[in-house]
Amino acid sequence: MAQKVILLVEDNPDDAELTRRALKSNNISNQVVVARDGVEALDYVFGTGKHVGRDPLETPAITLLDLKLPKLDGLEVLRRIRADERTKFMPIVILTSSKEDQDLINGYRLGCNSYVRKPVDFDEFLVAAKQLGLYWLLLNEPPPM
Amino acid sequence: MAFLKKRIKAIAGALLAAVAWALAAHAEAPVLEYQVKASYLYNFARFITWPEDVVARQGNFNLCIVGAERFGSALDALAGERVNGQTIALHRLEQAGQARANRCHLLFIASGRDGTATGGPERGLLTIGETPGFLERGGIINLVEVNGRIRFEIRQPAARQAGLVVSSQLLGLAIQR
Amino acid sequence: MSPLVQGFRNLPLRWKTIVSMLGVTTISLMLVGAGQLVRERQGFERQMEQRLTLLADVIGLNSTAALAFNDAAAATEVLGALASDEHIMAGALYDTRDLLFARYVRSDIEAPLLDTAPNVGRPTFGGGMAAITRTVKYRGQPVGKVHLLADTTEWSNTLWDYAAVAAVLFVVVLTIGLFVSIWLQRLITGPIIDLAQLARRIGQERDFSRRAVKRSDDEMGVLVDGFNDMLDEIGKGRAEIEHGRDELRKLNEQLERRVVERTAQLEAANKELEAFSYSVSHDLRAPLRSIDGFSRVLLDEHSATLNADGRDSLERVRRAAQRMGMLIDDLLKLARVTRVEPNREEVDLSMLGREIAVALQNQDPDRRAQIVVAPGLRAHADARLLRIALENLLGNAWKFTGQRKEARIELGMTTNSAPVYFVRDNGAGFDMAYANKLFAPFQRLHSVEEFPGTGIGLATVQRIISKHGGRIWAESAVDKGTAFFFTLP
Repeated sequence: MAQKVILLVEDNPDDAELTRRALKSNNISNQVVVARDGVEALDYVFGTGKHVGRDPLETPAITLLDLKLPKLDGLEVLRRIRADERTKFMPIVILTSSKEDQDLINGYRLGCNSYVRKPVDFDEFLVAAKQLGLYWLLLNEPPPM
Repeated sequence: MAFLKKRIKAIAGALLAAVAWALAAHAEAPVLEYQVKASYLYNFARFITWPEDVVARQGNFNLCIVGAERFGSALDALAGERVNGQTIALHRLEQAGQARANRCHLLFIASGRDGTATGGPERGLLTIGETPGFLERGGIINLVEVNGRIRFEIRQPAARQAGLVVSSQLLGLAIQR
Repeated sequence: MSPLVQGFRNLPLRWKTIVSMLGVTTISLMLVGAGQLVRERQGFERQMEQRLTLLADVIGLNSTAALAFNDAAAATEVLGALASDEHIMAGALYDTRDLLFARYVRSDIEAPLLDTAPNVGRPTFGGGMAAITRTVKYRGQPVGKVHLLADTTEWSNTLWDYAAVAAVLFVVVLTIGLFVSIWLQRLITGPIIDLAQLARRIGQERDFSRRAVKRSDDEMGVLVDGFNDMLDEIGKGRAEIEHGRDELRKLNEQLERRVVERTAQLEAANKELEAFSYSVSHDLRAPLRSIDGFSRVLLDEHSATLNADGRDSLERVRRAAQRMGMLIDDLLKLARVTRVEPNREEVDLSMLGREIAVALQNQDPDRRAQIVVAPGLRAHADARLLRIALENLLGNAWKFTGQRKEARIELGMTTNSAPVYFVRDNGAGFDMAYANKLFAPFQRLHSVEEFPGTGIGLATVQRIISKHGGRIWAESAVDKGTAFFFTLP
């Protein structure tokens, strides 16, 4: 089975890099596609704009979605993905530094699969990344297409 | 004056007591009868007015009695009393004829002693008797016993002839003839 | 004060005037009537005295001879002349010894004649009779006494008639007086009553534009002028008050507007603060993550090129970054607590305490610590805020008993008029001299090496308790443990 991509929606290049490294150090070798803002993320998911021609049915193995994004924020991105039949079930983990209750509630209400807070301590993040990879890439059965 | 009044009162009291006695038992005691008569004499002197000239002429009020022995001591109380401003002077006479000589103002002639009556009124002399017919014989007042009481009769014309003015009250008390 | 006087005092002016006038009239009439009566009586007595004296003297004079010559019949005759005077009831003559001598009694009566002569003197009056006794003298010498009794009932009747006439007159005069006093009252008190009615109407209707009518130039006129002046003043005063009230209303409106503005500003500021918090939690943490993350990358992937000193420095960089992360987290927590209004409900404090205890134990399974939670602790409070508070308090206790072999932490309640909750430990404790710094943010009584922490926890707890209207205080001594007490009214 061809390895599916991991979509990382993250405007902070440092965070993107660290996430990539965290995944890598946990031996998660899936291709990581980084979208720098909400619009780009949706373009990738739906094969529009910059990513015209990409099949939306080729859903990422997991999407790590930051909430605070330029142009279109993460919650809106989540809402649009869940509103589309093709992408309704794709696993999305909110990965954010926000610990605001309102963000948590909204995230779950809009149908995120998981909510992970980016810790300052990189060691903790490594643990989180490992768990994420273990669960979503190895243990979780994706919904049938 | 006060002492005088007292005395007058005492005399009048005594006299009236005698009168009262006489009223009660006049027959028994002739002395009491004369006590009353003595007081009468005194009162006649008070109720009869003598002519001015007679009074002025003489000092005393000469009270002359013919038959004074009948009065006993009743007359003694009169002596020295005053009547009409004059002191009473008692003269006990034997007979009426002595009146002029004694300058009598009042002459009492006891019963049975008027045989020597003067016969007519004399100026300034009040004649008093106690014999029936005394007035007819020229007397002015006559004492009479009526119902056991001593009363008197007055012959007014005689009194007038003698110049004596008799008080109308006295006249009122007199027996009407 | 007698009730009569009090009653008169409360009488309307109209009646006061009438009553006064009638009272004065009555008193004068009664005085005049009584005086007249007394005068009448005195006049009669004088007249009677003259008449009786004359009559007695005449009788006496006419009886002198009868008395002197003891002629009772004559005396009786003289006394008989008294029959011509119908008022003479009886007459008597007494001799010089004061013994009854002669008497006359009017045929139709029973005369009270004495056997001995009464005292000589002026006439005496009484029992409807007048009596007189005089000495009878003849030419200055007493010969007896005469006594006369006269009937005075007719005269009494005359007096009664007089009194009756006076009474009728009294009523007539009083009636006239009543009308006169009513007329006078209208004349005098009418304007006063008008003024009083005007005052009452103004009091009821609050119409200060009314004015009293001046009808005379006397004191009443002065009063009316004064009243009108006063109304002018009141009118002015009220205008001022109205003006002031308008001003006040305007000021109030301004104030309300300002409050609304300020509230809006405050809400805006709050929103800004929220936005700020949000951005802090996102943006301030991101660089820290980079610092820590890349330090780790350096340590992991470039350890070969780093000597021990370099590695130590990187470790220090990472610790600082992590600590800053904690500080940011705690600050955000404090800000959130400050913002939120407590949403009160029934909270099972015991259950909350046990849950936190389990969490603490799981966090540090190697530690031997006894956490005793009293059963049945309940409070009416915001469950989430209370959880934060208890987490902090129990967490603190856990932390500060870390060096005890037999750590003991207790959550309980004492009841002292109102419930007082407490969290007690047998940990390190602190010097009470610093107790006032305990709840200020970023204040720490121990070094970070000794006990880690940001110094924000107790500040957060205090805000939660005071948000509930409660109070928190501590009792402690170095090495003797600490007890935190708090109330939740």
